[in-house]
Formats: sequence, C-alpha cells, structure tokens
Amino acid sequence: MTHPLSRRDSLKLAAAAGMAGVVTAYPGRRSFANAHRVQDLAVEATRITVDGVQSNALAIGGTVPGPLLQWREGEEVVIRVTNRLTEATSIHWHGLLLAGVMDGAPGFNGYEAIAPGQTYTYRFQLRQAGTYWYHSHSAAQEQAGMYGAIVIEPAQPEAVRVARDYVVLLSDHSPEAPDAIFRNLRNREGYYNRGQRTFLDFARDVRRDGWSATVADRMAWGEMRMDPTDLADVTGYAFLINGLGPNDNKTFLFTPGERVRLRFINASAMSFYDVAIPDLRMTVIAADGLPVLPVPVDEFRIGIGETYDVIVNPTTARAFTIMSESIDRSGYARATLAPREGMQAPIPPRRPRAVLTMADMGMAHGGMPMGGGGSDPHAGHVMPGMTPPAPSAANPHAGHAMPGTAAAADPHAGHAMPSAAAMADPDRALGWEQAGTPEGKRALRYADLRSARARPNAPQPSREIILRLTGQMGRYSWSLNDRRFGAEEAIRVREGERVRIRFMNETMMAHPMHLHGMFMELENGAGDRLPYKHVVVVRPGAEASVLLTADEVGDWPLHCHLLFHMKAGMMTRLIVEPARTASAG
Amino acid sequence: MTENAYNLPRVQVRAGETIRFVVVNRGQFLHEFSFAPAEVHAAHRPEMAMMMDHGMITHERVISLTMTMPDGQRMDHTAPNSILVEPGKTGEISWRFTRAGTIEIACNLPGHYETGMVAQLVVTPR
Repeated sequence: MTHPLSRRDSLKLAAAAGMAGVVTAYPGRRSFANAHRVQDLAVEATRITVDGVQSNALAIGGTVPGPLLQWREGEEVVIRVTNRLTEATSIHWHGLLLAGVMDGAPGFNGYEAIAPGQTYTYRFQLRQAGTYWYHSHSAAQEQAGMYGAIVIEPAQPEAVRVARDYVVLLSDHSPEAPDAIFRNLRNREGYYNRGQRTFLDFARDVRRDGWSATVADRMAWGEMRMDPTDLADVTGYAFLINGLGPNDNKTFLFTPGERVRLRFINASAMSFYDVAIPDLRMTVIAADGLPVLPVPVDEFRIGIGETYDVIVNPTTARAFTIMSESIDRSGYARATLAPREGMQAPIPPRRPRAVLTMADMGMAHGGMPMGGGGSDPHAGHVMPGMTPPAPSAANPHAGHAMPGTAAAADPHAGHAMPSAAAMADPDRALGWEQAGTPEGKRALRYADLRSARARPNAPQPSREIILRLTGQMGRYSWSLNDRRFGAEEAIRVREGERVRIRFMNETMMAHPMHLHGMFMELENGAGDRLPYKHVVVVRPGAEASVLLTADEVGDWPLHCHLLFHMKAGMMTRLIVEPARTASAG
Repeated sequence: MTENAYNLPRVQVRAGETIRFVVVNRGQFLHEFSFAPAEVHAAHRPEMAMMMDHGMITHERVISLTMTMPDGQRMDHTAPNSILVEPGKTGEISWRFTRAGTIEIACNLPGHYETGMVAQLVVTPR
C-alpha cells in the first residue's frame, strides 16, 4: 500500500534513514536565547550493523550517519556537541560560510578540539542554502562514522519544485580501526591494492605492446613507486547509502509522475564513485550546495566531499537501482527508488576497473587521444551521424596534461574520446577519467557546470598561487609543495583580494582539494558562470585552477579530502589577513 | 515564462478554435514555448541539447536557427508549433487545433523540462 507523502514527510523519512541506535538529538528545543534552532549532539562509540555484519563505529547523535540537520537560510542555529569519547573530537560544517572559530577544524582559527567529557557550543547564522554535510575533523574519526547531512532550505522560493526530497549520503565503512588502516598504508606499499597487476598481465601486455614498450612502461612505474591500478588506497570497504549496505537496500519512495530531488553527498573517507540510475536520466541542478544551470546526464563521478543535487522524473511504477560503484571497482553502494518498499531492480553489470596510463602522470606525449579538452563544448560526446569535431589527436599536446591546457581543468572528462587501445579492448578502460560509461550515455563533466548566478564584472585575479600536489604512494607520503602539514608554508592573501590558485597534481592519484570557509570558482571554461565549489577534484598528473575572492578573514584549512592523505600531511593553511584601514595621512 | 516554469499549469482550448498564444519571457534565460505530444517533445530534447552543444543557441540567446553540419546534415529550429523567446522578449504563435486530446506545452532546453517547465494543453471536442 502506498500513500503520498508531503515534502516535509519525505524529508523526515530521509532523516530517519539508517537510524538504529538511540537518538540523542533534541531538535526543536528553543530555550537558547534568540537562536532559531538548538540541537544537542553527543559523540559516542557505538556498534553498527551493515548487511547483517556488526562492527565498531563512532556516532554523532546516536546514529551513522548522524541525524539530518534541516535548517533554513537566515536562521541562527546553535549546536551543542558533547564528547563522550576517550579522545578529543570536533565537528566541521563542510561547505558552510561562517566565522572561523565555528568552522570546527582544530588548530585553525583559534578553534580547539573538544576534550573528552566537554561540550562545545557552535553558534552561527546560515548565509546560504543547499546541500552540505558535517563531519569530524579530528584523527580519522570520520572514517569510523562521524558524518551527517545538512539541508538548508532557501529563504526565497526555489526555481525547482519537487514532490519528494531525499538525501543520498554515500560513505565507506571498514571493520578495521581507522588507525590500523593508516598504519598498514604506511608500512606496506599496495597493502590494500588487491587489483595489483600480475606476471600474467605483464605477459599479455608484452603480447600486445611488444617487449620493449612493456618493459619501459614497467620501469617507469617502478620509478614512481606507484601501481597503474592505484585508484584507491584502501579496499575492503563496505559502501553505504545513508548508513545501509547494498543488501540492506535503502529504499526511496516515489509515486510515478512525481519530480524527485536526490541530494548526493560523498561523505566517504577515501572513495570516489561513479553514480548512475539505469533507465532514469538525472538532471544536475546543484553542485557543492549552490545551484547550477540544469544539466541532464546519465551518470556522474563524485569526489570525496562533493555534493550534487539531481532531479529525476520516474514515470513508471517500477523500481530503479541507484548504483554507486567505487572507482577502484572493489564494490558498490546501492539503493532503490521504488513506488513501494520491498521492490528492487537488477544490479547493472559491474564495470571494468580503469588502468592508469602514463598520461595520468602527465608523461604521454601525443598519441594518446584522451580527455580531449574540457573547455571544448564539442569534446566529450560524439554526435551520431556527424563527424566528431576536432579529433584530439590533431592536438600535439592531447593527453599530455600540461599546466595551462583546458583539458587539465576537467577531471570529469568522463565521456572523453576513448583511446585507440580502449576501443580495441572494451574490458580495459584506460586512464583515470574512463568511467566505463555505456555507449550513448552521457557522464557529467566539470565543463558542464555553470553557476546559476552569473558574475559578469568579476575582476581579474591580481596574482597566481601555485600549489603542487606532491607525494609518493610507496612511502605513503603526501604533501603540498613538497611540505607536509606542520612544516607547511602558509598561503597568505589580503581580505578582498582576488587570486588564482593553480593546483598542479604531480601524483598518480586524483585529489579532491577542499577549502574551508569560502567557495572557489572553478575555471572550467564557463565564462561568467564559473561554478562555485568547495571541493575541486584534480585528476592524476593534471592541473585545475580556481579563482578565489578572499572575503572571509581567518586561517583556513586547504587540504586533500582523502582522509589518510590529509592525515599524512596533505594540508596547508590559507590565511586571509584583514584589510588594513587606509592609513591616510 | 520564468526559471523553469510556465505561469499556467494547464491550458484548455476547444477543437476548431484558432488560438493566438502571446508568450512573454520574464526569466533570465532562453526558453521555448512548444506544443506537441509528450513523446514528440522527448524526441526533440536531444536535438535541443545538440543545438546548444553546437552553439546555435546559448543559455541566454539564439545565435542561429539553422546550421549545416560538415557532413551536410541540416539542423533547424523552425517548426511552426514552437518558438524560442529570449529573456525580456515576447513571441507569438497562432494555431488552429483540430483534434481533441491532451498534449504538452514544454520547454526542451537542456534541463528545463526536467525541472518543471511543462504545462498541459487540453483540446476538448468541438
């Protein structure tokens, strides 16, 4: 039996997702002076059950994920966080514009971690609307379950009206203690890389590519202390949607003909996903919380810390699988959209794991026509019945991710022209951005994102800041400009200054670079509609650049959102110094 | 028309009547006013996406309503049941409906229909 739910009810439903333990949040209490909402959240150790298997976890507000925080733009909110652990903790409000001390990153902006037994009171006014999230910024607690969703309703009515509104929060859960994972990563290279290439792969490559090419390739990989299958550092994860495993099958209800908004949040510690709903097109309407011009797509890749809001219009009374495959293809998160509980649709065939190429190191010269140009509106999808315009082979630098090429700015060139080799062998996806997108389907690219709010008269940046993403997988050493956090050289900008930051990825992994406290404008070729992002994925061996108007005074973390990369030192400090009052004399 | 909706969710006309639609774009972006059966709209949407990819239209403006591709294939947006109206402008279509039934008024610019820019057009028997 089904009955229609109001939007409010469906949001409640989404909030209830994955609630198993005792909820220690008391939303709606209004005793705190002037605040619109007061919320009490306790952080405590707990046990969770995923697909019938129990494991240890850390919970905010009693559940994994923590309770959905539903706020309204303009409200002042108060959140009292009590630490019931035996170690220090913190909660960071990911993507929110707020005073530095409320940002919740220990060691920045004068904020200190919450000691065991202590309560910290966060208080801030909501200056934005959209989909965001919160998580621990201490140790590796986020990996153990300390994350939850934030949905802020806009003060003005929205352009999009939906009948249902759901949060789809992706996360990766490991039965291992986060600290043990980190030790393993440090001690043994490729500890979790179960897809390591074998002698048989080597023999096959020799047959195909010839002996010398194969040996040369192997030697180059060896020198870099990376494996070409290094897409993820850690495997053995269970991939969750709203805290539920693929067999638990979280179900989102709809009535055929309804317009449904799905708010995807990648709250994983270490996992990128390719997200698709077979037989159902998605229209992307927001990225990292802020509205973009609608883009109809069949799938998208989501980096750690990113959020995408999509609209779907299921018109038939059947089930649809929301499929989120981790990009190392070690598993998937799955949920179902259905007219009633208990239905399910087939799980689509698992996709091949991409094999990184030397181009992902920025080392291939010509020859590898891939990632044919992010800012070129013609690249990325072949029109049926038409000559594909400007084949990227014509570009001597195609695939050679040199700083400054537009192609480099597009880590989501998911639908890039397949290389000749990939065409010949569809089971062997080459290159980081090869998502294995089925033929005729369209994957979201960064170049598709256009802010709904134009900035026609944005000033030119006054200077460029280069941030090299550096590290070595083998030694599990990750850094920025070759300096680990603690020995970092802070980036200093003046309040109001507009700068360009160029992220130059010198490593073999994609890094989701996250800035606290401010939005970056991703230079993706969108003219005066550069999308606002708080996380920018910089693909292997490539460059991405952003513009930043430094209008929030403070010292803000700027780090890779791969949790163990940050823990290994891939973080720096972006200091926005207050503008001096003009010393007119 | 605004982002992304028509001000009327439903328009009813009688078969045999000639209707003059005056379409005002009060939004910031280019919008389409087009009436056809739902499946015809669905087939039209990829064409609109292609027009945008090829620069015939932008999010705000019409650049050219016809284009010849390198392989000689022609694309155009000149069907009589459809108009594109730029922000702040007004367009008109006159049409005599002959057959009773329910069809859709839709904007097929990428993502507009999907986010709610659709209305019902009901033609009642004469």
